[in-house]
Amino acid sequence: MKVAIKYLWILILLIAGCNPDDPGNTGTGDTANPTHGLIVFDFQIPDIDLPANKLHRVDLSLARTADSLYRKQYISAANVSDLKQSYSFVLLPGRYFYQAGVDCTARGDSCYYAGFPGGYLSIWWTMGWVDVEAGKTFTKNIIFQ
Amino acid sequence: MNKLFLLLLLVSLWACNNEVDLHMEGDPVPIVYCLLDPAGETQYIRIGRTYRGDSMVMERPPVTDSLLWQAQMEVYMEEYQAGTLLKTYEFLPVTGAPKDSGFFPQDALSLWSGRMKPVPGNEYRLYVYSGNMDLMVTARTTAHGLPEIIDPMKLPGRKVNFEAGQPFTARWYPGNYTGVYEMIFRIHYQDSSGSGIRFRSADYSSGGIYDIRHDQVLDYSMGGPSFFKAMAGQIEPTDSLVRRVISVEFMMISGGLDLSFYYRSVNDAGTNFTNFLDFTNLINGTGIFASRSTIRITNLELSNVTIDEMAHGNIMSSRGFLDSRGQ
Repeated sequence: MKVAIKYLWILILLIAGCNPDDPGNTGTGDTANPTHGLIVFDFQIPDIDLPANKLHRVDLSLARTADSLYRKQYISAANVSDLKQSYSFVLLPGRYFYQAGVDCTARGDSCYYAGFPGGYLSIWWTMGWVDVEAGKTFTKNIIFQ
Repeated sequence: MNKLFLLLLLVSLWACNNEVDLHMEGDPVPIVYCLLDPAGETQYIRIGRTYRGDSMVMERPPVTDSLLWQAQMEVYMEEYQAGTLLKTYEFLPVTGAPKDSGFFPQDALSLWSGRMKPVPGNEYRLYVYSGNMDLMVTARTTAHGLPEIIDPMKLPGRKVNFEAGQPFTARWYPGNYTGVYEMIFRIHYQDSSGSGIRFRSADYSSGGIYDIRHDQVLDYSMGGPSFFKAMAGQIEPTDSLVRRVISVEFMMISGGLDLSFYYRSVNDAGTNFTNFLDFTNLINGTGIFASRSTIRITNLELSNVTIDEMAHGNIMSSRGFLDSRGQ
């Protein structure tokens, strides 16, 4: 009987030690700063018929309103790189508008036929908005369409 | 027999001298500086000598003659590839060329030049020979490969941002035999006043970065308040000038392994890392024989956020810069 109780205690401790939360979860979570929120942009290069080394991230900027985005009055901007896909901003709560751009450096008509209206060295833009909540983390996937 | 012993004892006592002269005159030691530039067609060597100074040496610089090595010299360099001698280059004294006062505190300091373009990966052996002093200074180094810079990349639309919280990360593939780097962002701007326009610049430097890894992409982050403090330290406040940012130039200075050990020995002097104290790779002399090169990327753009902070931020607002909207 004592042995059965001992095994029962070990089983209880093992179950209590399990953590069902996935630490790699990039969805909504709490941040260390209770007055600010964290927004993480997943900036994927669009999957089109061009060599990957001919497409480059060129811009990821944030503004408080859509018209200030149009006037290039940004409140923050990421230093984008071809080697980095994830960009984060720590912001006060509220709605933010973002714009992101990719550049095409393929020669000839490749950029034009891949959907870049200006052809070589033109930029494909996308934009959208995100809401930031204090103490929370959000991930936003940037989609070019 | 006893008399002989007494005489020997007296002689040996007489010979005892417990005074040691700590300031014996010594022969001057040649000081040789040569930094090969794999991107250059002409290479230079500066040759001087050690001198004796006291605690006031900074206030009383040594006289010219004490810096010069008064000897007939022959200077040449050999190039080796995989242990095979490829070529020997003769170096000749340079006369009449303007000399940077920072590197040449005395204009008469000896400068030698030779026409050669170092090849990354090849070994170079330096010989400075003085026949009348019967002295040969030698050194060997391997020319380092030029780094391949990934970021910053010059692309339409991509900008450099130094805003706090969004550090700029420089990334590069290191060249072989490279061990030390310095990155400089040079901000070009214009001063406008009633009397005209002047083009000026201010530098933001990473300082020396010691990193001898070659098997991976290296990176280094810069920006935030240190950028704005560096700018404020070089650009004086003004009420009368209007300033506008024009462009950003990125420079990466890289050095070979020998230069990296030399840099670290100077940088870590007085710390626990003392093995490289007074590092030199010269035999019969002091100084350094290594390779160094500079890569430049011009006409980069500064981000609107950074320009706006230069115009309206706490640190730079008195410097007269216009923001990204020209206000």
